[in-house]
Amino acid sequence: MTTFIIRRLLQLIPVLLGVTILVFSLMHLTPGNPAVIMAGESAPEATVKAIEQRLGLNDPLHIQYLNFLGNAAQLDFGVSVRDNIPVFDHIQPRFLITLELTIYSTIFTVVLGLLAGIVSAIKQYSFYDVTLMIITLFGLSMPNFWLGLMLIQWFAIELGWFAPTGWGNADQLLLPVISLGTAGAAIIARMTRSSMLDVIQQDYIRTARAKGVKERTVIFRHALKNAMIPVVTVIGLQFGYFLGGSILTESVFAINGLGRLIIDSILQRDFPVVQGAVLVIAVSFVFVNLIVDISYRLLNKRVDLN
Amino acid sequence: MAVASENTTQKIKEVNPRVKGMKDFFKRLRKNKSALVGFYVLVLFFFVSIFGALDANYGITGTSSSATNLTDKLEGPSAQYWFGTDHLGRDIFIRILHGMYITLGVGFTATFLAGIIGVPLGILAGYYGKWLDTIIMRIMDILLAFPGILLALAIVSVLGGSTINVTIAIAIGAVPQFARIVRGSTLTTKKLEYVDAIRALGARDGKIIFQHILPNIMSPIIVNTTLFIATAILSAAGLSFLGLGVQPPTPEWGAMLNDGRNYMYQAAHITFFPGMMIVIVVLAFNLFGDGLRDAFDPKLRK
Repeated sequence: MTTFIIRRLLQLIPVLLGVTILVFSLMHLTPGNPAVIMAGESAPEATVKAIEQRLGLNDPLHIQYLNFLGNAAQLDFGVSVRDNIPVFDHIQPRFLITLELTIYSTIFTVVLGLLAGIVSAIKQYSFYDVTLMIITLFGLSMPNFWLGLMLIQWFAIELGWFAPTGWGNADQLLLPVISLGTAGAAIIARMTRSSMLDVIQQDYIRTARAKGVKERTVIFRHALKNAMIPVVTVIGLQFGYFLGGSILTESVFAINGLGRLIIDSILQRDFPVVQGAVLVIAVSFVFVNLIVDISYRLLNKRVDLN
Repeated sequence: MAVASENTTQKIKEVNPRVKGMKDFFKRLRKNKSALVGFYVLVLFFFVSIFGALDANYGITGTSSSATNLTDKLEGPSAQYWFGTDHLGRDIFIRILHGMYITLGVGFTATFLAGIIGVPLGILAGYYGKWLDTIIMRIMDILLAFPGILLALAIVSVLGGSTINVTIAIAIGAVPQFARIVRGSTLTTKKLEYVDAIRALGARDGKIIFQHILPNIMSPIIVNTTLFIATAILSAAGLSFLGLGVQPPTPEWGAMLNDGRNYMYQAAHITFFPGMMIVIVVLAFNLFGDGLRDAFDPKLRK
């Protein structure tokens, strides 16, 4: 197990280097001189030159990259072009909000998806099962931002039950979480259903039933445990995807998370902030995947992840 | 002589497992009602979108997706405006009709581009293995480190928002998915005994890849292409919704949703109809894609 973890960590090095190179290139492929944007179009040449000097824009590319990498490793992503505040100070509070949204959405997804999937598998081909499978298909096919708009329309504007925008108060949490989590819940419901059906057909479950073990015990103690193995992977992946998917949800509900920061910064051509925020999401995603791999390995000792 | 050769072809067709497999495949597909529903919806949308494209560019019906009529702005659905009008008094039904080929076109083109690049990469990695495999798949891992639309978003932020740039950005984001799936299938096929036998007979790599590996991995490629078009449509709509994709006044559905979000208090229908259309298109691709998968591999069916 330890060797597996060490090997996986070593594999991360080229991926993380690649991610930083890609994010670093963003600023240099973008048309327009960042120093000019930072100084303002009408700024005197001397100011632009001074900023170029400060950002090191005149250094050779590989030196610039190494500086970028070294600073990023210390969580220093430079300063915002807009307000000269360190990028990290922009990112940190926003990241916590996005993380909150992601965690709540994951909980919503797991609880709803598992429950729906288990009941569907136990009552295969029943009215409930068929209805649920149709609903999950819609859930999978809906753009999460459109679902968000419709939820705002019905539950905030028409019924007035929830606040249409924002994050933090009790009446602001549920709609964004449903909007972000529904597709994931649909995926997990389908996964759980098919995984449960697989397990239920196996010999050891028939043996347990033949021995006279109560049906509830068979389902929850014997079947669910093994059916969960593939589902756990999907749950982990969902958590990662929510980090990226929250960009749209945050935009719909005007939540000041990392996603909204990225959009605003792209529109204002504030490259250091875009770079920092994209890098934070990508690196978090890579580590979430690592944790998923390790837990999959722990849950299922038979798998050889070569 | 002609009759004899016809008979022979007939016999070959009966014996050839691939031809027989195709017959069974279509039989299974026809039995799958939800897949058929998806298929018919897609065929219908295909023709409607062609009509919409012709109408938008050559004015068959004399309607316009950009004609503004401020006296009729923000009106609800009616006999005159089936899906109502937007904040500039533009007919939403006409806009949806004229924008359909853009939504479908971006989805198809992005997926096609991703396949053109991703499939050969996957075959190379799976077939040749070793260092080539390591290099290709590590690069794919790097691209996969950006969840969801993040990579496409980053690319669009560099290229700028336009229909072509969105297509390119989504295609790049999809390449690793194709490469991964194709690599896996290639690895499995490569290990089949008959491929070994052909190689022992002295067949060249090119012949093995094109005549034996590729036909065997077509089914996962087709299934994933179908399902990926759905994802590509969602991503494109998302980018346009954020204002970073297809730019107004082009009647792309995601951009229309972006227009409508500012008028939700007065006119909910502006955001309802374009979104509903996205749901129907994506649902149709998902139904058809799932049906294809089940028909290709009946063992997976539950």
